[in-house]
Amino acid sequence: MKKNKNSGFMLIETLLVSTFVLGVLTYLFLQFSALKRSYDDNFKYNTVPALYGIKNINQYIAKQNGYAVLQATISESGYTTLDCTSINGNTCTKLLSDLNTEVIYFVKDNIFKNNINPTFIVFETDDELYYFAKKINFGDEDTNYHLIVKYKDGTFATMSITL
Amino acid sequence: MKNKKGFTIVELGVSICLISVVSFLLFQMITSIKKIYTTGDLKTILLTKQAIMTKKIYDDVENKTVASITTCDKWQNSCLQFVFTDNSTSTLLVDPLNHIVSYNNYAINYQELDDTIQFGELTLNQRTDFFTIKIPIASATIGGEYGIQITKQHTNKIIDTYTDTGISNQIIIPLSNKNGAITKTSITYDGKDYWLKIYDAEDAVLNSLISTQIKYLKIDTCSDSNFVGNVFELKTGMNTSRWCQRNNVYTQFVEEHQHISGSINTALGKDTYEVALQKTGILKDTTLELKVNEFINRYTFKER
Repeated sequence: MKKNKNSGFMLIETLLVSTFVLGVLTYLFLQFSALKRSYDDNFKYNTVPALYGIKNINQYIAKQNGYAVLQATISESGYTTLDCTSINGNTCTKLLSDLNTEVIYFVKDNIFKNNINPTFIVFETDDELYYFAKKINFGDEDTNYHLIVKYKDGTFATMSITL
Repeated sequence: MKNKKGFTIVELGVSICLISVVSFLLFQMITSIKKIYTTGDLKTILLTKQAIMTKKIYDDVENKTVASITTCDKWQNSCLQFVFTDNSTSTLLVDPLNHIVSYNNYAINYQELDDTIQFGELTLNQRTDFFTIKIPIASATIGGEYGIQITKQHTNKIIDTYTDTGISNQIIIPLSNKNGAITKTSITYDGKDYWLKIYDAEDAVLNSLISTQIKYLKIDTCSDSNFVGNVFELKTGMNTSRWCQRNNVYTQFVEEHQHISGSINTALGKDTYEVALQKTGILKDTTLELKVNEFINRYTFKER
């Protein structure tokens, strides 16, 4: 019987093993990355100070009858940002400054939820906001809205509003 | 015959590359897992403590009406005393040396949790419509902020807008300021007193309002013989104070009464008035409130 004198791996064997190992590693890495992001997000999304902050903002807007103003300024894409000049600017600016907010969105659920993709204008320059928005449970009714607040310390909070 | 049982150089190279990649990725994962394991517990504990402390303070300030917040006598930069309208009190104390934060009977000893905890200065920011308390707390070990922040808006109940009431015949209300914006005036009830709130009025109109019409709001007469004017109780932010006033002369401090420097026309003008109050450290905003309990006794206001 003729002996195979090439006792090393064949190229095809090497490629198969490499592909398998790298595949497993890539899968593990993706799973672990998702797990790590989820773990980190737990400390950034809807934290206690962030929730009390958004509660204060909601209370203030309601007190100033500001939701009517916000509803009127919602764009076709289903969102608007809170502009203090339209809601008793002086106190509003100070409140938001004290609460350390970076940006506040008021969104109409049934329109905005169709725009949650990385290329949407709101998310183009803000990946973190995109990941947060993906986790929000938007409603289907025409009366469902959400306040979304991004704070300067990188935390986020959201609150469901029914108008 | 040549023995060819060993690995070729290509096989060795490929194997080493594979093992390197695997090792690197595994090392990254293990490092991350180790970090999560070592910091996760501490992070969770610090966040839980932060949540409990925040909730305890919010529960108090939301369920009761805050009458005043003052610094404690011996701990001016690290202690606040809340007095509520039901006469109960609460104390928020920060001990930066021993790393302890306490609110009434609940205390957090951060030293026991993390010896790298750093405390910032306790700050109280009193505005006209709300107050903010901040205690910055950071951990060098795990990073991140675990401080306490309380922001509470005053829940003064608007009884009626000033111009809608019968007292508009008694007190002239400025309807617009020099920028054309509507001057915001309202009567509010804070659970104890009624206040006329004047917001961002034009100087001249406010001068006129106060100098000619404020007599209806007097609550007392200046007791000092040098003063023939009236005493008015004013509120800026959450602070209530009593001020003596006399026509065309500089006013002075009289017993428990504060004073405003300047003649009546300038002293009570919005800008000058604010400057005068700011010097005392009392005025934090552009809103002035006058106690109008007497008016409430004479006029009927409809609740909205």
